[in-house]
Amino acid sequence: MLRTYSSKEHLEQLNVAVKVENLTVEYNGRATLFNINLDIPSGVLMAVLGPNNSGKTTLLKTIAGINKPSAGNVYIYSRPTHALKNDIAYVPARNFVNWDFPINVYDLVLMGSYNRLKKVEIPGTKDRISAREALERVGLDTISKKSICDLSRGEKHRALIARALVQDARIYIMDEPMIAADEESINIIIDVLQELRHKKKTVIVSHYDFVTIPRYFDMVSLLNVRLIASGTTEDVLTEENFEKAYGMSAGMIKNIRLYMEESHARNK
Amino acid sequence: MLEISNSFLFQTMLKSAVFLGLSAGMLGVFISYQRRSIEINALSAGSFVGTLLLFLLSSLGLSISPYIFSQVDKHIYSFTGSILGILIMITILNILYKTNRLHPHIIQSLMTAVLLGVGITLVTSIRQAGGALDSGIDVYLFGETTSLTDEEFYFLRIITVTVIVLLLLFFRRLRVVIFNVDIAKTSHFHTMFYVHLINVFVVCLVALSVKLMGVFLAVSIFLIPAVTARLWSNRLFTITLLSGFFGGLGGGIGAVIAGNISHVSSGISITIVLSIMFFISLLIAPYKGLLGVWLRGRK
Repeated sequence: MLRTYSSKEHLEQLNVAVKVENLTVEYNGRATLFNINLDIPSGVLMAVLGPNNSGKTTLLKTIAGINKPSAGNVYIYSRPTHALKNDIAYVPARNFVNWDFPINVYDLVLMGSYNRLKKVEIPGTKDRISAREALERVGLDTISKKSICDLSRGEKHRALIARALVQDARIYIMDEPMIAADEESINIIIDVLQELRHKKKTVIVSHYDFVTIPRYFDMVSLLNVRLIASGTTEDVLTEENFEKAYGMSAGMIKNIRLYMEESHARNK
Repeated sequence: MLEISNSFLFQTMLKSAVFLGLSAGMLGVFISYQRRSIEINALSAGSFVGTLLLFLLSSLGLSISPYIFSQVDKHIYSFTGSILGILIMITILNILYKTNRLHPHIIQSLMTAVLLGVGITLVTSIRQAGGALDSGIDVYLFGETTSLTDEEFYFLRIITVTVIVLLLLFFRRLRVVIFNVDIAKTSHFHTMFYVHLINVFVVCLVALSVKLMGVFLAVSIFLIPAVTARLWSNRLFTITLLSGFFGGLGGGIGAVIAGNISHVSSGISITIVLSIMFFISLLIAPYKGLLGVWLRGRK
């Protein structure tokens, strides 16, 4: 019972949390995203899927307000991203974080409360309790004093997610939060994602493993610089769309489809 | 020795080195985690060339219009040249970072080599020409604490105290900006304000440290204390305080040595003292020192 919003009709009934209009992002004169139009309903778990250099991270960063669009607009609950405060919690990809930074797990997680504080204000008891709860939620409470450079890959993902949980935002944007993580970490992260959806939060996750997408996510956007398709997993994960996104041969897609079906059968 | 230690000049020299060491040591921690260590070398070289060029231009102006140019103290030229050199260097580096795919460290090293080459060529030309300019050049090569004017010492005190106070005041937000700028942006911090704040500190402290430490060794007062402090702790706040302490102590002891032994420039003596502190820490520091690692391994 992982997914709750399976039908297209159900998704259409929800309010739009994120609206992306004619979005183009260029880097060094090259378009990394081109003319993206996308509506993400409120309170869903959405995966962003695509091959390497397809613009997944760029899309997430632009929605989060980190990258500026070259053209087009992004609206969060009908407001432009720069007008927002405390509405978005961003979890960067593990590779984009300096893990040699001298900070322990607790201090990293407590950073999530800084956006609520004034420039020189010190976190209070409420913030510290919130950090401890987030650590417990991701199973890192026993190693809260450990330096972040000593964490395993899965623990690093969980620590970054715990920091975002402390932010208590309406929208969570996560860049590859499960890549190369151990099974225990993946299970904990999936539980956290489900819990966020249960709390009516909108969660956008770039995900590498299309086999597990139908199990974990309500909807998916398939990307390769342009938006190939977006909607329920059944509507988007088709052979035709895969061929457009990945340029794979029909035979290869057939094998993937067989593997997916077997995988689904095993999981049932 | 007592006579020297009580002299006003020595007191000024000692205070300058301690103040600079304290603030540069603290700032060095932030610079090293911004991965800008090599950039300090490039900025020092920019400061060096800027100073020499403004010296040359002022001497040219002096020959054209002696009345106007003789009214301005030559130290004003040197400090203005230094600041301009660093600002131009920062601009060039930022353009190069954005317009090509070379790793920033390669760009920084390349620019350092080019500017040191230009600087040494200018020094050689000035030396061959002789005259009044020749006498002040050694200061920029290896540093001299006595070379600071009263105005520069006053400026140094204001800048170093400001750097220390603001680093401590904005510590939490600076930590997020340096840890991950994307997290800082989505937390709605004014990231550019903090980045520029550090840049302003870097420009001022590099300009001052080139005079005290010399163009080749200016980087050592920023980075050796930061690396030494890292051996003692794994928390950024403790590292920042320790780095300031090591920088101030190294600066002070180095200045005393330079003040009491003739023919030893302050840049060399401060760097040697800081290096000794580093090697002692490498042996005995409990967190990442060899002894600490060995003891933890035995447990």
